[in-house]
Amino acid sequence: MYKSIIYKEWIKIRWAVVVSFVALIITLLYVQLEIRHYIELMTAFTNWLYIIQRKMLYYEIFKYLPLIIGTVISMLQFVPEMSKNRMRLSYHLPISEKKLLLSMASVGFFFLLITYVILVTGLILTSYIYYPTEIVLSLLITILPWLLGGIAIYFLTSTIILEPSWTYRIVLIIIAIAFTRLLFMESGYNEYQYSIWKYAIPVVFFPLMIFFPGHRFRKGIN
Amino acid sequence: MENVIELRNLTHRYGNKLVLNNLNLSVEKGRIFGVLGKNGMGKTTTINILMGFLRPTSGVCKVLGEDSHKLKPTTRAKIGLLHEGHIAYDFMTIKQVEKFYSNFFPAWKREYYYELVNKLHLSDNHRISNMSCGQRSQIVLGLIFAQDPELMILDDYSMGLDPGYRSLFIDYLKEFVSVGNKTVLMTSHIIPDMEKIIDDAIIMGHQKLLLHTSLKNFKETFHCYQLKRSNATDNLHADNTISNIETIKNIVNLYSFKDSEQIKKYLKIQNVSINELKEIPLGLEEAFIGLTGKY
Amino acid sequence: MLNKLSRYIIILLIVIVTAIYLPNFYWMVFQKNVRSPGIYYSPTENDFLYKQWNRLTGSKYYNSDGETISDREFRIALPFYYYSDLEKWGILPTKIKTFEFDKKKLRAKSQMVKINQKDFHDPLIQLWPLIESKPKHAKLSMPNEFFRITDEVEFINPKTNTIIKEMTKDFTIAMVEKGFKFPHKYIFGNPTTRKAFDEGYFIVDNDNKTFHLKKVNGKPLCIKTPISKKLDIKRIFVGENNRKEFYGLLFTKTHDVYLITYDNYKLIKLPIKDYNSDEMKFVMLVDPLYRTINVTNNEKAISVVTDINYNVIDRFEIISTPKENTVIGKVEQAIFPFKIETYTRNSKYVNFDLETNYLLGIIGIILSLISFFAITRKTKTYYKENWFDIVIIALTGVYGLIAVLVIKPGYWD
Repeated sequence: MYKSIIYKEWIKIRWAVVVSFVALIITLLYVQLEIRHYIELMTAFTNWLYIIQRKMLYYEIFKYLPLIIGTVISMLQFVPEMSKNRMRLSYHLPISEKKLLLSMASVGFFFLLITYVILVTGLILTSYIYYPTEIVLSLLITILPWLLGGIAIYFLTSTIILEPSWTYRIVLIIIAIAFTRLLFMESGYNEYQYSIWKYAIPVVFFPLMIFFPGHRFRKGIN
Repeated sequence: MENVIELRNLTHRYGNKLVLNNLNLSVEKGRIFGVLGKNGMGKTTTINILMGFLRPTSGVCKVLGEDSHKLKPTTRAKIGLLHEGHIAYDFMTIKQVEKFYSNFFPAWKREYYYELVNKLHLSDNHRISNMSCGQRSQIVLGLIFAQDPELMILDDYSMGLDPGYRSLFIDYLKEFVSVGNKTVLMTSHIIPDMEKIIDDAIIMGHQKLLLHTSLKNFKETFHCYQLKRSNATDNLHADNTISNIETIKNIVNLYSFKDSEQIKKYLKIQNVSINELKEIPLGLEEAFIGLTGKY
Repeated sequence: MLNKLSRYIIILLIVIVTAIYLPNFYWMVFQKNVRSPGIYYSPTENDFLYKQWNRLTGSKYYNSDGETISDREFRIALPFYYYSDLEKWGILPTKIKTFEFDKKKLRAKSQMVKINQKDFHDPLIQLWPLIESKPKHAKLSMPNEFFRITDEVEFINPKTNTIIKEMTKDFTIAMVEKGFKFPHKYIFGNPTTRKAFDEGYFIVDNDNKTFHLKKVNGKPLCIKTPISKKLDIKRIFVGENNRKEFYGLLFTKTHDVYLITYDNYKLIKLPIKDYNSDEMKFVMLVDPLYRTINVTNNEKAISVVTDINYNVIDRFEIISTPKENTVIGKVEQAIFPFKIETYTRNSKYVNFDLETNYLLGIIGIILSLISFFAITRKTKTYYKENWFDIVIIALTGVYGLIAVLVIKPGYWD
């Protein structure tokens, strides 16, 4: 049963997964080239100084990538289900709606996490060649809100798409944008160091959010 | 006799708009039911409630003994649904969609699916989104057959199908239910097709049920009487005897469940000349229109 | 059950988002944008003057009695700051008290130190360049390596991203010889080449003793300062200035401020009261005759003027009604029982802090509850099934009201 669900979700997102992996690897290579270019252009010392004092984020190109991947995966999974009422097929399957929704979302979330693993390992490996631990550590702290933003937007987008009524959708879109943008407001490194866990607490509960639109669909509430 | 579907005082409103008003209906096991109703009579709402995608405002809608809006997964496995527009997972291929569904149903009958689908002469890797509506209807029907459900609810199965696929659909369905023990509830705008297969007709009027009877009984007891228009006929109106009156130029059609003797008696009382009264034979479609009116 | 929970998670998200944005929108609409005043001490008037800027009127000038004065009057009273204007107008005095007016001398005897409360809460990667303090050339130049302090002073070559063993050994030994106890607690410096000379770093060791580390001719120069280890140091702002009166300013966690003088690191305590370094901006103006120390926030501006030996001459205070106490502020507190602050003027870190409005907020909660019952007017079973809606409104007031009204309950059966 779950095998089937994974199978169907995989069919919907497989191209996006491949494209994200390729895009990630290309971007990682690009960042590495860029670092080398900077070091040659301005010396390694100045490059470090720019990073430390001017708070240049050499990995800023990745800032919105989790957000984009999260949104795209969610859309590829749930837009085909909701268009032409196809979700009726899924909701009629002999499995409870909650298990169904949760397992569908788990598949997308899992692939999002894999992209995170690639991104984070790629960045650590690239960075360790050129930079000391302090800079690598600040990178990890700095990208944390971006990664959290990707997870948040994945579940928010899923909730928005699964919601059957447009008025609710619009409310949820506004709320989703308003919340997610809070995680992308940094102007330098480590700025979310002490508060990121507070932002993570609500996000931990976001997966449960997809049940309510499912319930509304099932009961025909518009 | 066990009732597969049971509606009791089913009422539904959208906001303040009443769509269904105290609908009562029981559907026995093992028969094929055609739900007939003009647009706007609450047919879609009823089907949505039956399929479990709408919780009624009040009243009861039991399907296989459970409230339709909270069917257990095991009960859902016993119900095959054909959604309006032959909804399918378009992004899957013939093979993929079968593989997907098969894991959900322990009694999956793969051969039923492929029996139907093979007749399309398409490759197994053909995507459903690249199929015609008729081809897709075969896939959907094949999946329902493979599920081997006790109850099938087929909503507007004929939508978008050309006559060839329509009759193919009916043929397969007929064959499938001939095993017995299957209950089918279907809707369509193509009544002559339905006439070929349904045992019972359920006719919906405004917000309520007009008639629920066997097709045979309906055709036997529902009559159309034709006579010349006169001042007296203009005074006639629908009542307990006459279900519907239709006046076209100089001809008046009276639709009624009464036999010709009763009608003659009735007309005499109403001072209508019965000299030219004659009974017109009715098909199901004409009978349906006669009962519900054209408008 | 899970469906209900799911709805409440959406509702709580709306509460969080509205608690962040709505109070901000409120203040954007109603608050007059006023900057805190800039206070000066006039050597000619022997009194304080100040200027204040706001969105509607622009800059306005006042004397210490709060009377408006003209732009020209303001500038004439402050010859140390506006001497070029005075010179242009041909009214530059030749002598101000004991100071014979000379632009060069004036510049040499003037200094300004500005420390924003944000500077105390600013994430910094703990890697430092140690600038050569006796450079070959006229200008300072950056070194080729960074250092970090672990259980030694580790120098790293950015080119190879490896530790420079020789330097690390030299500097570590120099520190240990002076009694430095690794690991360190804090390090403070001013690593920029845009200054006349370099004073290196002040490093607080594990024993709370403060050491001064410089690089002289490529070699370490470590000095154990007599700065008391009992001082609870929060931060030292090193600021090299040609006057060479002090290395920089030492701020304690108890909000005292000291100058670290060139006179063997002797500390001079600045005579300011009611200063909170986490919330107030600190400005110290040095001119040939006076020291003016201003600490300001939205509610008050406190100024102390001293002579060159830091003996208090006069004090001045401007108290403005804090925005919380204005009518607009009171209304805000009554509408919103709390708010979530993500950005403050006090920190470069992004926060997520709950600020409750206590008693006044209860008015808003009660009004929200009344509105809820008035708007919904449902049956007993409705309230029974959705009793948690009421709890949410009772806890979050208008935010919860908006959320539960927008996201209506489902069919809980």
